[in-house]
Amino acid sequence: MYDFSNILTKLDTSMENLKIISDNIANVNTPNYKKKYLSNNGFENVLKMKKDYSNHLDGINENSYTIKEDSRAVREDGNSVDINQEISDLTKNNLQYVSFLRIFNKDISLAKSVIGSK
Amino acid sequence: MFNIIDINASSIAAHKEYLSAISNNIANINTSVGINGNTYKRQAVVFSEFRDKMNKNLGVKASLVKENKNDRLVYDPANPVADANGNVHYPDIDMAQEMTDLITAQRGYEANLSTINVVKDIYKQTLDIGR
Repeated sequence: MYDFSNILTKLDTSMENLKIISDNIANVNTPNYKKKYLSNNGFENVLKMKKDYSNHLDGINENSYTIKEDSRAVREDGNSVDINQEISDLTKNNLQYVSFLRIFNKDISLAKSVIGSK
Repeated sequence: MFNIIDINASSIAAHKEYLSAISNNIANINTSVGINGNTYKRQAVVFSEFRDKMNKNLGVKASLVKENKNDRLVYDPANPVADANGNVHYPDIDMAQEMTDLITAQRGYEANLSTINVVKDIYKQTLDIGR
């Protein structure tokens, strides 16, 4: 059977990241707001590491991510949101999400052609 | 379901509140008699982060406060609203401050608006999965 769980996890993570970026942009003028970010999210961690020996260490588990706060204050009002950074993160996340979607759609069309439906 | 849009929508509402406070301040820059007979007080908006326990609903909320600053006094004994010393009370509003606040509010509004458009595109593409 086709297993879509891996790509679905990626889509969920990307959506969660989008939510956090949205929250950062929403709070761009809130005093003392600290920028949030998801750690361990990105293309580098998409592929699972294959192990030849069971004694080898695991790679980073891509399903686990945490919300962290950037406690550095870059502005006088104690807010640490950099709007340029957020917009570029938003664009990056958007592209990631779209490419995951494309992979997902390819998977589905592959499965469809195997079972002979159109 | 589409709750990410709500995050930026809350911020748009907050920035609108900010813009309306600034507009009110600029409109009333020479108002010496307010609604209750006192001098008009400068309005300011306080933004505070909003989130519930489950981290489900995020966003920002704005609350309106009135600043309690001293009035700007102008000596004008002929004015009918002058006090016993011949001074007319005007609100202490700094035009430069209001104009820079206006830019901040406008840019914040625009940033959230463009984010909503990006999020909307993402949702649209999600709805096309498997087509």
